[in-house]
Amino acid sequence: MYEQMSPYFFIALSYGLSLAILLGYLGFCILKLSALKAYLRSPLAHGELMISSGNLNRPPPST
Amino acid sequence: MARNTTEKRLGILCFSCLMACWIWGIFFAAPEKHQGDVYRILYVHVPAAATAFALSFLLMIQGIVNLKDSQSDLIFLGKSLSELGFVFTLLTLITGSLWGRSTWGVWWTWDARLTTTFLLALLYVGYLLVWSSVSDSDNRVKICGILSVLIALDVPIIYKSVTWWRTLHQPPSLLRKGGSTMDPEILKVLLISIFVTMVTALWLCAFRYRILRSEEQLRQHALATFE
Repeated sequence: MYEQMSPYFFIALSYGLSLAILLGYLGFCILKLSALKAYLRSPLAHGELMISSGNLNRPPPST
Repeated sequence: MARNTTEKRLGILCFSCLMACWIWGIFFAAPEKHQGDVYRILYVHVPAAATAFALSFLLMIQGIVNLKDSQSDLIFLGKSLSELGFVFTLLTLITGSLWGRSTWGVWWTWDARLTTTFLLALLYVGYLLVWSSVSDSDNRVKICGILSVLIALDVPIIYKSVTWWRTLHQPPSLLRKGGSTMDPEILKVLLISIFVTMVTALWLCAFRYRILRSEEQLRQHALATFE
């Protein structure tokens, strides 16, 4: 099957896979950075856990 | 904020230059006399291999320096270098396999060059596994330091494998006695591609290092807050 393939098939596959892997790694890094930023914006980053005294006295949210 | 913008711009510039090199290699570089157009895989295969090798030497330097100061943030540089080293070794293996299928007629063969490159990928995976599984900082630095030296030692073996053993892979045509055997036009595009790929890898490495260090700082801060 591959004997009939054009050399451009292999070239396209090589460059396509390389681009996908590099962009995949970059995407992974960006996701990690977004998670860090989201954490920094959250109350958790400022020491306001749900088990802290202020939140314990708060009534549960109405359903 | 300004630092982030500069970092972002540098990243866009690196990836744009890399794409420009690839487009140059695919569409505008002259075809090769013996292989025709399929040789164009060279412009992604050789830069990926050269980058993986360069990263292994940087990893070794990091490992040795980190052994002297095990408490420094350099260990995160080791993680980012090894991740990228693995990524570029993987690219080398994949593009090499595709090139091999179209020229040799096989996807894979256990010849010396391919086997030693596969070993390099395994060593990078080993490094990453140790990094993630050893929690004690001193032990992690020691084991990773030893592994980084092993990774760097594998590179000259990969390079010399085509002259030490009989292999399917062609002998060195870039760095050899008497100069390169390549056509100057092909060589020019290749050298620029190698340079751009290495700079892109260094940018990715610095980006990942910053994220890893920030994660650790947050972890330390969180531990200090809740203890």
